Amino acid sequence: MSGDGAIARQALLAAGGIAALVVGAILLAGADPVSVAIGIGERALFTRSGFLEAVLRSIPLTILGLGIALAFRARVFNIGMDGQLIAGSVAAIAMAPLVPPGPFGLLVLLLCGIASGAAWGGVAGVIKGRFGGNEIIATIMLNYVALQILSWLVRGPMQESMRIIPRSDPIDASLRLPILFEATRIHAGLVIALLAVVAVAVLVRRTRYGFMLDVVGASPDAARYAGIDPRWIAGSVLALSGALAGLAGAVEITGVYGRLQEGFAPGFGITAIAVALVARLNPLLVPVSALGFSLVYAGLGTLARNGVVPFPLVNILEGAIIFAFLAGGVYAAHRAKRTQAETADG
Amino acid sequence: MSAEGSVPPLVALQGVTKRFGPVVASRAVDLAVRPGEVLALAGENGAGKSTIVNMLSGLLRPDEGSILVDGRPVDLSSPARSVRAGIGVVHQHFTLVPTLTGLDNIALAMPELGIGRLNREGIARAVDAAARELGLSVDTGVPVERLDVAQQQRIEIVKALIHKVRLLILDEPTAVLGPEDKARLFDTIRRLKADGTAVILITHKLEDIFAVADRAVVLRGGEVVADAPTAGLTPDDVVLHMVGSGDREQARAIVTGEAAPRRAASAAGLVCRLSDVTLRRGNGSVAVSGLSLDLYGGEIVAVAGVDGNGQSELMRVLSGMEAPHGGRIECLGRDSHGSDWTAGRLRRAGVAHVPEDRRRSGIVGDMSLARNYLLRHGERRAVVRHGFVRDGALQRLVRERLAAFDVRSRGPDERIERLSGGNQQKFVLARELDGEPRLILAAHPSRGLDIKTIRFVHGLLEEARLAGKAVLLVSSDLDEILRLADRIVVFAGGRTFGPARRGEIARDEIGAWIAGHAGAPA
Repeated sequence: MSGDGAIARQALLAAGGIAALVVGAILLAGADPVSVAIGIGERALFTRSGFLEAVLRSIPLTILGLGIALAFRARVFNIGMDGQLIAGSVAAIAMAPLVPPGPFGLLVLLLCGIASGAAWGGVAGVIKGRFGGNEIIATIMLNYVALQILSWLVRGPMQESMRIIPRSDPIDASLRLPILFEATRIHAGLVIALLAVVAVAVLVRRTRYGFMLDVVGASPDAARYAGIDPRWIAGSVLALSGALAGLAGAVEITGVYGRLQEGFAPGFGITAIAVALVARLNPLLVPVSALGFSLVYAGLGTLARNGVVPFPLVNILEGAIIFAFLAGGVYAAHRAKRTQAETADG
Repeated sequence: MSAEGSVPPLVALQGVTKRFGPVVASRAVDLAVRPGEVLALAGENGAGKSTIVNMLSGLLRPDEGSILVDGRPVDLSSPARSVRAGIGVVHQHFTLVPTLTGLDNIALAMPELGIGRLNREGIARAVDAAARELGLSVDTGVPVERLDVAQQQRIEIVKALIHKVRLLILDEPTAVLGPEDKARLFDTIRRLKADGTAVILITHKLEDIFAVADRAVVLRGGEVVADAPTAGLTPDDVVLHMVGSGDREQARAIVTGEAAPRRAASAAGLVCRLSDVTLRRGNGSVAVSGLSLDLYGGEIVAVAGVDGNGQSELMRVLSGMEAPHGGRIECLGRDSHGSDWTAGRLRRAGVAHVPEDRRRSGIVGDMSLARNYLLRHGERRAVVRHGFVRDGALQRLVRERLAAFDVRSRGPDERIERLSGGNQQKFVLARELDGEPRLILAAHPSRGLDIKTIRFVHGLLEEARLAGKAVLLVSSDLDEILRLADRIVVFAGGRTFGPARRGEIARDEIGAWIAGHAGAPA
């Protein structure tokens, strides 16, 4: 159809425009786009430390991306993963002195992180499900609330006993996620992330709840007709994706930092949206997409540290990748629609 | 018709073929329409009617053959080109923006207005002039969502005719209209004809063909199987061509609706009691008040009336999607005064629901047949256990039902939007009638279907009655109601008339009720 053709053309045009902007930004920064691209690839893919850094980063991004994928499938837009992640990590650290040292204690900490993230997401869930509020606004606002609470905690009740730096005391070493490979920072969170992928994939593909998410996302009218309450789904999926964010927070804190501090997962919740969208909300593709984004970060991060390009270029590149994928998706969708257009007569 | 042969065709298709993958939607179609001629295009679902409409309106391009306007080949590769060639289309599913006024919707169809300021007065004058010429009264000042279907259709017609239109295509225009609005539409068509405009009328209804058309073209499997002046045709002939069966007796049975309906041996007990119920529309206005009605097993109760008089609201309330705004409903042990008046609970109690807008709420187009089946059977132990969907069992169940209801598809994994409208409806019935429902809510169950499928649907409802189920039928087709219903209720202008037993009431009287005058309110 010509209308669709126009949309597809616009999508390609937009993607091209964004690519031009990125190249322009690199040129403006006084660098050579080609060498930047080569630099990213080299650093990320062909150096051991770059690759390991990317794998490390992809652990929380995978778990967060799964949470986003779940919510977005039901067209519930959870922008509050950052806040839910903070809630999870705060709970894990707060509980650390109370649990017995060892693997059992660690498990309790992770569960506390999950519960706390679910509760934080659940607040937005109640606002959306019970009062019909907009989940985007609710979750964004709750991000700021969580951020400020964290800021207060690490300067007040949870600050280290030395009272110098705004951070907490480290937790007991037996409560940290074990390192998987000698002489790297890759921790057992990798296994947790992969287990989460399997669990979410099963939930989405094999269960009635996953089916209900898809129905609500595809057609709220059909959901109501089938006796599925879209508000209940929205509320519960916000709690569920909050639980995954809380898990990511607890994993990150017990796996990498061992203590609470500010800015330990900068903008991960937003990046996770990109991760999930590029994975087309398919849980099995989320880890792949998360690793891809992490590679870009790792590569560009080094170049930025060496002063070749300014760091915010990472964000521009991230935006460009999302745009390219969305444009590609629109283009593919309309191509598909066009070939089957009106096969059904009647 | 004006002197056949001497007048050259206004628009003609020559050897037009259109394929979708392996499916041939149109096969070497030859078709011509002359100025001032009304051409009826008939055929079963999937016969290729919509494909022809879409090719003429610039939505699809033919793979082979050519389209001629005034004897010259034209390129109709976009809707704008089609409009420039003088072809206007009123689609079966309206393309109006619900929140905009009629006037703004018409303005949307005028790309020549550009993106500057709208000259609303100028458009309003043009719209009034066009409407007057057609003898249509349209209210263009209110958002179209507040208009009933017939008025929305009038806006669509005016929208199509605001351009210089020499051929107007109406796709299933009578499917949604009551008798009076239908008569008015036919008047409009006759007026257009008198002005020399050609009209192509896509329809399933034999009576429409013989009411207004000069010539009928019957399609089957994408091919033209008959092309003749209606004066020389009988309804039997048309059906014979549509179904392709050589059996004249069978064709006649389909036309007349074969054997007299069988009765249930004895009416089963009370299924549903509505007492003094008030129904409100989405915008808060009262659609029906003071409705009291008992529904018994083994009986079909029909609600007649022009669409938009509370029928949709009644179905929404009875299916549990909404609670009544006043009064009380007790149904299969559930009470609207309690907290258990939800769609899920009522369904478990035995309420099946064939929704009026199948595409919007009855199915999820993007999902497979199997998943769509799960929409209503997600609590059945056989297909879902401990929250996990048992795909194998579901596939078997769906395959069985598809075969039992003769749903033509490639199997449970096919996406439902790829099925034709008739097959989608059969699928919905297969799903809803599964699991021994006790109350069947059927809203316009045969709307937009071909005559063979309609008979099939009617047969199912009659079987359900025979099996002692209560059936509540909403329809705007009086023939359907008179054929099926045991008792008839009419909703008109906020009032309810009846219930009256069929046979104890004349067709004219029901018609008067539908029009909202005469007769005593119930």
